[in-house]
Amino acid sequence: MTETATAPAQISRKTRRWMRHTGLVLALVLLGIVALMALLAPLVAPFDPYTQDLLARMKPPVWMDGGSWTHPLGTDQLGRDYLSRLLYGARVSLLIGVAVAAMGGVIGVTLGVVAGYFGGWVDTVVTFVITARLSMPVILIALAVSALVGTSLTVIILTLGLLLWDRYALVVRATTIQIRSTDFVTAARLQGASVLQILWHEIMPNLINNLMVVATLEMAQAIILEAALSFLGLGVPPPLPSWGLMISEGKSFILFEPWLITIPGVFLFALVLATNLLGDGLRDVTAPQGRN
Amino acid sequence: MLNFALRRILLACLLMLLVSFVTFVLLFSTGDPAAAIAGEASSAADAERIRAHFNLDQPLVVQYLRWLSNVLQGDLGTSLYFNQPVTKIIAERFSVTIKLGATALAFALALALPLGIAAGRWPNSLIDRAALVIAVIGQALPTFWFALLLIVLFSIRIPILPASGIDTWKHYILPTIVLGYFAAPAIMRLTRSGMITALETDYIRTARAMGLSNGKVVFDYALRNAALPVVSLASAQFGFMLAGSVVVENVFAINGAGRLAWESIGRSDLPTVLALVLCFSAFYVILTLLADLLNALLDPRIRTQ
Repeated sequence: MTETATAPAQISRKTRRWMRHTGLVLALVLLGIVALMALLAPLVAPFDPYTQDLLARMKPPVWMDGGSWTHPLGTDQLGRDYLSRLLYGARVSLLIGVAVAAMGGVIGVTLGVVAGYFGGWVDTVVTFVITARLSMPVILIALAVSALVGTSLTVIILTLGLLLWDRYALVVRATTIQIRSTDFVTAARLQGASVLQILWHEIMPNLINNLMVVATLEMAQAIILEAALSFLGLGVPPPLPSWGLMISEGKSFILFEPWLITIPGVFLFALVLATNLLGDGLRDVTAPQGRN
Repeated sequence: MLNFALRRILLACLLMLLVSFVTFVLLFSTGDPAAAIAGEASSAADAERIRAHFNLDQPLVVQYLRWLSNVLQGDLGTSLYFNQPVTKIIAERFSVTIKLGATALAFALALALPLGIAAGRWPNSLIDRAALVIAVIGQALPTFWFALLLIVLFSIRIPILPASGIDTWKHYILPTIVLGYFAAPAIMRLTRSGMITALETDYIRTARAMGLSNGKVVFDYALRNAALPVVSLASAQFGFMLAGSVVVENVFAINGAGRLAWESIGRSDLPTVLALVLCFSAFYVILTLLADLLNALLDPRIRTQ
């Protein structure tokens, strides 16, 4: 599980194990595409994602009748270039995914480590708080907070970050309990290491593998929740280009222009799929004994 | 067993107390219910009068305790929008949501259990791989988008199923598929791993060595042991699905509790929102409590922990 000394032979074996894993390769390719879209959006977007052109409303994509290369993916109901909005939308999804996963990570890891290391009544209290959080309907709370505070990117990130830490806490708590009783932790304690030193130098490095897996799962969850909130009109405020918002704006036209929801939906699906597959793959590669 | 049950019930009650307090503070400290009641064309003085009338000028803790004592007497407050008792409004809506949740859970189990059992029985086989693909896709499909796709396919392209409402059994099909497919992957994966673990145990080897038939070993011995965690997960998934109905009920225009929640949020009808959030939480807490009790009943080891 923990590869402290990695000889060159082991590295190459590890790389080969990575490359052999179909899901992992697919995940990295898809995530690479979305990351490139987000990074290069200002360079490759043919139009400004906010500029409306009411004379060119709902132009179909290039492969459909009446499509043209001017707007390769067509335009929306306000005449905004769909490809440009799609490219900038990748930024919103990735930003929210990473920021929420990081924020939830800080909260969840802190709670999990403290509960797992100290045990006793601290553990009881933290476990109780985790259960309470699990029984609260995330999407309803997030909707209500957005409606009351006002919708913005910051509000979404803070709300979801404050809600999505349960899995971190559960996994970190369980792992910490296992590590706590190992010989190297006892050795560190006998050498006179302080609690903080033990947590930071002995416990944390051994959590990294599991943390990466949970982080990808929470990231996927955050991306899907943002899209759902935006779809319900209480996520990212228009005119920001969010994939969930694009689907929401296109849903009135599904009768004749179903591509308005298909295109952003496919990208949203691909991003969430890639993030989940990355998590599954990381678990397979870093913890061979847990492959089933 | 009685001791265990009492402890778990007490814990569930404490849990609901904490959840209700957090939700209450969250809703009433971020929003301004007085302004919402007064409406847009009101003056500051109007809002002030309303604040005094509804006791909104008192400290949050006092407001919470007052609300809590009402709830314990079965009064969830009055809807600011309908001007009727919240209890009455949400009871009707919840019957729709629970019915939908139940059909969705049935669909999820019908999809997940056979696939999970087969995948666990023959790991790395073709069926295992197919089950994995089905699970991975289900986990990544955004429910609202999947719902819209199904509407495009089965209500517009091939118009055989209704796209909105919940009047006949046909109306249940698409929302059931969407919600059920959302809940299935986790159940499928847990069933699979539970089967694999169970089939590797000594007692299975013994049963096989004694010449029991394969079907008997898989279904009577392995499945029974793999089933316990699946029961817990399925009940938790049921709770999550009820909350997930917010999205699905919106797409399919179903007048259930989820849609009511979304509408009430838009109308700043805080008493109704609060009651709905608590009911969704209560469902989750009760379901997981029942699953825990059932597990303890079936497995004595859990009781003595």
